[in-house]
Amino acid sequence: MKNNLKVLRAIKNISQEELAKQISVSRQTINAMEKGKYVPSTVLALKLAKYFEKAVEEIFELEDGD
Amino acid sequence: MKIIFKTKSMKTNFLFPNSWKTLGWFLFVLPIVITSYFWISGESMDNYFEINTFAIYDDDFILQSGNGFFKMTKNTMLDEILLIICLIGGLIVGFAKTKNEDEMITHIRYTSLVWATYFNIIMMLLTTLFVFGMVYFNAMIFFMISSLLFFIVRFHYMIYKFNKLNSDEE
Repeated sequence: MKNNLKVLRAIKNISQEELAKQISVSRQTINAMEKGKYVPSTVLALKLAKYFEKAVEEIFELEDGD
Repeated sequence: MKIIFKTKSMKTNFLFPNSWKTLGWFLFVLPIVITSYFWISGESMDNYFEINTFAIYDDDFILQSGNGFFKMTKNTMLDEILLIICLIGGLIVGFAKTKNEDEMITHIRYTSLVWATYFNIIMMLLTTLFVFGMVYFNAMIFFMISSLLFFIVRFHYMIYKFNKLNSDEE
């Protein structure tokens, strides 16, 4: 699964730390998602979508093999 | 008609509070240190805490004073006490909340448990196949805590790896 969290975060000009606080996860989790090392739960994906005011599909995208 | 299945998120996580973690480390490591001391010095643990204790079953194969259920029996309790402390400590270390417990930590915990289960069983298979005699007996004693030990090591190693992933943030 791909995501463009890093881009969205850059547009909003917000640090990993700050985003982590906003959606109550650790900074490591944000970082792992951006690096594609962790696939978030539905709840966390929806929280991110809500925070960035985007649809989930605009943030996360399936890849071949998913 | 729209059907909505409401998911109660899986909040039951069976975890100890984070504040217990240090105590857990202490309880887990102390018996291992003490046991190592006895191993290295060659002293027998059977010289300590000899008391009468209750047994659900005791075959009393050392004193040959008869076996049976629900009886009082003489036993040296130091090894029992150390094992119990070690198991409880290990349980707390593995299952106390981390400082920033979130769903990724939960994920790491569960995958580490699966990894440790596989690893432990592979070690047991290899030991059973290729190790014989008294060493095998000692290995079986080790296997009483090994799956917990492998889990704890793997869990913290994976957390360490994810934390290191972090270091190159802009």
